[in-house]
Amino acid sequence: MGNISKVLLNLILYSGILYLGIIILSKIFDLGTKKFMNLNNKNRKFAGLGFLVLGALLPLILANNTYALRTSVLVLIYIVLALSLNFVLGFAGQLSMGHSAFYAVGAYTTAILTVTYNVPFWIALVCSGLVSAIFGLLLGIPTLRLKGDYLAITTIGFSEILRLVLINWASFTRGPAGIPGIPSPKIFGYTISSNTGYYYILYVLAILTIFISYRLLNSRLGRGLVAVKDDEVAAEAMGINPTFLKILAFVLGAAIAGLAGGVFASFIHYVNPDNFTYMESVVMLTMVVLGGVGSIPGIIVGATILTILPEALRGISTYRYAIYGILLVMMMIVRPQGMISMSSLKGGAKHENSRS
Amino acid sequence: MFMEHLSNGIALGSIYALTAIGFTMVYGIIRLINFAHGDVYMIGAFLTYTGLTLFNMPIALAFLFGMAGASIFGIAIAKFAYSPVFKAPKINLFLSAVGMGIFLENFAMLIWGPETQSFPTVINNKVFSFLGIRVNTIQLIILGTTIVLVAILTYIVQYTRIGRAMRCVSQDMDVSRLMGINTNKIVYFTFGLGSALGAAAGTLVAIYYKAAYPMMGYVPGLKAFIAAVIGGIGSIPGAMLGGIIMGVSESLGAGYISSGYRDAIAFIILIIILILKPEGLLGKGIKEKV
Amino acid sequence: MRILEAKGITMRFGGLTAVNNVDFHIDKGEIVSLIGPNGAGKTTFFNAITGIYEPTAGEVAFLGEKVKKSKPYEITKMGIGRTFQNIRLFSTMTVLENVMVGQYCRTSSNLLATILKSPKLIKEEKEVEEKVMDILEFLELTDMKDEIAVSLPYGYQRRVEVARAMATEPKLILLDEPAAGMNSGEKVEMTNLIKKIRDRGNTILVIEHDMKLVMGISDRISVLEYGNKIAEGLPHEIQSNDRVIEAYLGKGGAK
Repeated sequence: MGNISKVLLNLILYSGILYLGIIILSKIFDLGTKKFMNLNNKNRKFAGLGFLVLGALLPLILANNTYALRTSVLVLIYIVLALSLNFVLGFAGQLSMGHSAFYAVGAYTTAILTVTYNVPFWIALVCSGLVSAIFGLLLGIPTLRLKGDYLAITTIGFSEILRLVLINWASFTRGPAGIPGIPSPKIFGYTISSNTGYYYILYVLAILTIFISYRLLNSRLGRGLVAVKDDEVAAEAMGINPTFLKILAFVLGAAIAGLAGGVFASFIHYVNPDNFTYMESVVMLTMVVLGGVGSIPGIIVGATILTILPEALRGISTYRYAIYGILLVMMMIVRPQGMISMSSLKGGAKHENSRS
Repeated sequence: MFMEHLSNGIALGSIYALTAIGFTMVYGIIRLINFAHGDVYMIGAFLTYTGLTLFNMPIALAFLFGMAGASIFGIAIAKFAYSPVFKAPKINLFLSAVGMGIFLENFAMLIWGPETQSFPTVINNKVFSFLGIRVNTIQLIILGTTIVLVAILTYIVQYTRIGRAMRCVSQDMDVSRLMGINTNKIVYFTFGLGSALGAAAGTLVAIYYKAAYPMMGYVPGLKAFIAAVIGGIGSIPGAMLGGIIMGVSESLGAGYISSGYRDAIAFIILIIILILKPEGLLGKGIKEKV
Repeated sequence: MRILEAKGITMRFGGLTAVNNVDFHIDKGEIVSLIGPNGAGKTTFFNAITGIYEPTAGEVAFLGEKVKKSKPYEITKMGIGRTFQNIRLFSTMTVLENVMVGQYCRTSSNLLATILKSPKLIKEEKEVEEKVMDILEFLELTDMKDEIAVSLPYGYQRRVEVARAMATEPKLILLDEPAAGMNSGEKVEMTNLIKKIRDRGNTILVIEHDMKLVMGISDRISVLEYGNKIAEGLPHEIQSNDRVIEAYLGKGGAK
């Protein structure tokens, strides 16, 4: 209690910095988006390719900096996770706050299969995706009839129940102690254990997720999903079965989060229930919102910023999550549409009129 | 054994009820699941703790100090974190509340430290046998305090001018504004009142378990919301009923089924209720008109 | 050809009879209007004949087949497209995208085809675009196809809604108060538009308050009051029907 004035002073200072940071970043991204939207199609493809190449070369650039490389691996994991949540939140407009459950299911599937049953990593990874997808289906069917707040709280409920199962079902999950010794993947006889190796595995997964997102966005199913998000009643009148599409989005998001979980388990070689708390779901959610709900480049930016920021704040680690909380509140007030909003990607359309 | 679980469940249930009332009042007025409510409950407990240990207040005064302090927190949160986003899409308001919750938890860690603080023993706990039911002093005090606070709240909501305004605003904010009600004032008043009740609940828990820690509000916050949903969100008697049902079933469940899944019981009840009767036990359904 | 035939439709909610023993039919190429004062049971009747509600008594046949209780999306798939009285466009979508959503129920590519961009999907997307562009051309919306639909002026928003309903390839189009909130100029445009759509071979059911609009476009008019059909006939017959005048203007209104 004695340090109260110091704490308050620090918090005010950090809030000020955060505020300035949000304003400056917003300006930068507005400018960047505008520049990008002014490019013609061919140049846009060029720019996209440029980012792709940059991503592929990053491990070579960071070769001597283990810490930066490790952080890059984490960035990729969160890009995949945030994009997987975006299928549910950005496409179908469903507020799922238990997305870490699918991440956990994926991680534990790989952990248990490789450690307890000696299944090769790649097979275990595929199983992670499948098992998570099945979980998504089982959870989606009863919960997706619920709306907004109720859905949010029920998804939290499911993920908390899952975490309790992971803690209590010790004979299968080894309880709170977790599962150590998860092996590295082998490919053509080589073991991938370096950060660089994991980076490329996740890079492929991230590209795949981005690819699926874009394919979906510009398709019949994608339009159906966005229709459901914008106005469920009108969507139904267009012959769309909203429940089916919501479940589809949920299952797809769950499967991809599961894959990310599988790679994560192998990357840190150890899983325990504490890796998959509610906070983890909030982190994913914040990434999507900070970047811009539904906006794929935005979410990549959001995941990148929010993975690097806590690492950068290691020096003031006690304030880390307090700052995280302030950031979330401030974002909602100062820039609710996210850094690269969906509407700015549609050629700066006039302000969306939201029905809520 | 059964009676012991029952009396424990009722004590626990009264606390959920007190917390749930704050939830339900806020939801009734601005349709927000106030994720920070559980953390205001924690702040209340810590403020009482501070009153007791730092300022050597007597318990009754410290208790009121905690309630008043938490009320100020609640109003400040509503003013700075929520009111700028009232008009924005709902998810923004919701995330602002989530962010506020995270902030409060970590703020408490910075001020009072991350470790569990042992709460001073303020009540000489005795066990009574009453018609074969064993209850202890703290349980009786929890139940008594709850009844008194709920009685005061009911009086405010039902019989005062501001209570009537609150009921108006919860039915239709825009029309209330047109009728000359200062809706902003009502919103802040509701936050203040709800936070004070939450703080009372937090303090009672801290006394009951003799401990206060920064994360103490997170799970009870969720459970209070569940209690509010079970009773029908927006309904104060519903929140009471929901709280008691939750407390008792949790206590019995932990006693007879498995204590490891204690926290899961609440969620299982929630899921069953939402699937079978989404409008809650005492709530009214809202359907969109086409 | 008979598109829809309803016989003896009764709809009760508890003790309240919202629709009482109403017969109704609509043939191919007709514009039929359903009118009546507020609370006459127009919307309830519509919901009962399309299967959103199951009628307490009576039977409905759509294209000769019995209508069962179904979800709104099944009804659209069956061939009834609709607009809403309070415009409900997809707020984040362009005009083109809004109308393309209408084609959803006439296409079938699944997730795998979407991800792999199968030849079938490419063909399907091309067909969708052609059909949609055709509809946009027909409703004179081509110029604004890339605008965000909700940013258009009101009259155009209605038009987009109609386009979207047409994109579901309906056998029967329901226009729910198409002139609600419009000024007189926009109403004239709407009248012409509805006729134009019919001339393309569509069958249209209009639910409407606005007498002038209804008189101008309808082949036949049915009038509901307190759930009962009090009149049915040609526009000029309805115009001079005493019971209709009474229902609309009160007892004093009938000379």
